[in-house]
Amino acid sequence: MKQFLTLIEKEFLHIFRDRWSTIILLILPVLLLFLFGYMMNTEVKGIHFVVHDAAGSVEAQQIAERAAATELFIFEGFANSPQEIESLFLNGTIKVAILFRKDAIELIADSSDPNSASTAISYLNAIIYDFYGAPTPPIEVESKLLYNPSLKSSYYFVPGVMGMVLMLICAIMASVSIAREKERGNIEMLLVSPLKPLRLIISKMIPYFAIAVINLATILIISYFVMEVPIRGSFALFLLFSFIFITTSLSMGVLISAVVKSQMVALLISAMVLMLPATLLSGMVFPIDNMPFVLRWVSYFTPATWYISGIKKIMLQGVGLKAIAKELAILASMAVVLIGSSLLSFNKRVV
Amino acid sequence: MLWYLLEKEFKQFFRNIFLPRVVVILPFAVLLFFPMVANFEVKNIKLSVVDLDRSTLSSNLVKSIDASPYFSIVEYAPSSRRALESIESNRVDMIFEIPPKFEKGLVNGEGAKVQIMANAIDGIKGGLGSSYLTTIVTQYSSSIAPHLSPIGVNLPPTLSALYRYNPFLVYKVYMIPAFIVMMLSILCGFLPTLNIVLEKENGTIEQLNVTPIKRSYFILSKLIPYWLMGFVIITIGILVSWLFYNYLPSGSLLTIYLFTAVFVLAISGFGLVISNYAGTVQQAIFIIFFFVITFIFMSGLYTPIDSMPDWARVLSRFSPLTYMISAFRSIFLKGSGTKELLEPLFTLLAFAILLNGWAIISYRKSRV
Repeated sequence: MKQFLTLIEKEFLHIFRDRWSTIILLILPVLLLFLFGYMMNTEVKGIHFVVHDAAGSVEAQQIAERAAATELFIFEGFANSPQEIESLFLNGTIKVAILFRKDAIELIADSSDPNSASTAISYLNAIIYDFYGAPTPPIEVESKLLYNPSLKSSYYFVPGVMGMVLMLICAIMASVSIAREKERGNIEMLLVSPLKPLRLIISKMIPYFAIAVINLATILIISYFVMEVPIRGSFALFLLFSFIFITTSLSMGVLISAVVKSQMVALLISAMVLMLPATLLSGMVFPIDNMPFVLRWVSYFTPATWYISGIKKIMLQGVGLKAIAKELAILASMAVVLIGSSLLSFNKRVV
Repeated sequence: MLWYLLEKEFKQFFRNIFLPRVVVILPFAVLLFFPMVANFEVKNIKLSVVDLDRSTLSSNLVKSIDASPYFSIVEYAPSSRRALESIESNRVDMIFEIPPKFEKGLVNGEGAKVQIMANAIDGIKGGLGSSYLTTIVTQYSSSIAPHLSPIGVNLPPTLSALYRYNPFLVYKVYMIPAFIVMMLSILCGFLPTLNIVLEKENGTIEQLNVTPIKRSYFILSKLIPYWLMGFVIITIGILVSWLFYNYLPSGSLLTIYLFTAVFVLAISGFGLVISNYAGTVQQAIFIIFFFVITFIFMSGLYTPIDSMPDWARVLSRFSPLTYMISAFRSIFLKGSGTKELLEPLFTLLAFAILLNGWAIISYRKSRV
């Protein structure tokens, strides 16, 4: 046991003596959280618009003022001619123009960005209908936005950043560090010592497990206190689920390092096989439903997909074990398969 | 003199097996793959319908929702509790509930109330989805209104909406120009930095430093190859979008190449500045990684700059990518010409002059 502890101490020293890497390991999650949480704001607002009044109607000014009173629209004044509108569209000053003709109102949107265009049009529709006191719409709509009533994008991105960071720290860093020992040849020294290969692997995994837990804690503290993202479900379940995911990622790292010979190749394989799918295909940023068939299947084989989906359910929807049973089962079986094969591949190399 | 330096750079470039392939294959792969994935399109929202009225009017309303391309009704739940369970397990994204006595209320003029519940964790889907659904209900509501109330109502003037430049609201065409800019910045920003830092690590830079080459010539010799590379990348980008997405820029090619020329100068200059401060390849990679990620996120590539908080909007003005992405989108989608885009063009030019000037000044032949 003492031997084992010494080995773990060695691994920790390895990591912490490289000051640059330590700083990056600890700062990176914070940077990513801020970038995703604040910059990736998907809520539409600040749409500039002009009004062209060809009919000399009194309503034009009033409707423009009503629209400008909302947070969504910014009034850029009146345009004198359709040509002027055209050039305002072309240099990007405005996104929407409202044309008042005799008996008709025409809304023109620059739909280069489809989502902000359709949001703007549907809001303008509502404003104009409302202005004319549309004939008491017989059907009243009450809409309720569940789980995220103010449509904050941090709700959507925090679970994704967790999945990405844990994957990055565990899989990439672990695989590169083992590959480095191979490249420099000091793994031979460990292999000729009386240590069992299993213990060797576990001693490699423990420091990264610890760092991953620290990162998880950092992300949680910032997201909870600064970005006000709640944890609605059970915290114990959250931890259990995260630990399973960390183990899965670590075993992927070990598996990669068992196959490759150099740091560079380990880095490239981790980036191609782990990072790209984990960031692009996991549903972290882009919805999986929109992807073509083949890519959707790739995303089903990415552990981060299931982790992010489960974490969203636990943190934001506050559901219990039953609702995440599928994610838990898939992730756990991935973990078993990966740990098994990484142990096997490592043993084979030793013999 | 400059000619010989350039010859050296080109020989170095083409003798590397790896580099020429990266320059061709990477933009090709990224442009083929990214637009399919980076897609915030809201379509096929999975809807659970709870119709507690089961009348003619309610089923007509459901039919008009089903006809919309935005929604696919995946289940008819017997109660709102069951529908909520489906939302919890993510089988559906939204619930549409019609209360009992819906038709009765409409017919005797009391009106009726329907309820929409959306899973809003994905803010785009939740927000846009519920506003689409509201629009459908409002349209249905105004279509039946004349039949219900006998007295003529004062209808508002006819309201029509026109989507210009991207009439079918396709998300891919919005993203392709931005991804071309991303590739230009990664390749033309990264590679010159790595090139110089590698010379530092290998020690070959010392050989250049003891020659009578001027600093500006040295910087130019590093700049020009990547400048030409920028044109190769943009050409690949346009070809891919034409061949695989059947989509050609509506603006003139001349404008596109003009912007590329200025932008690549700016971004390569930025890379050169970094290379003057970084000592090792690892340091350079970390610094570039940091800037590239930050630039990509704050330049409105994925989400509109107007939606960002104020401090982020101010920051975004310091990134050349911001101007380039918005200009490229205008040229590609709207066909804007140089005349309309003078402001971004001169801003980029200012970036190019400033950054390259800085690169020349901060380059030191002597080591302290």
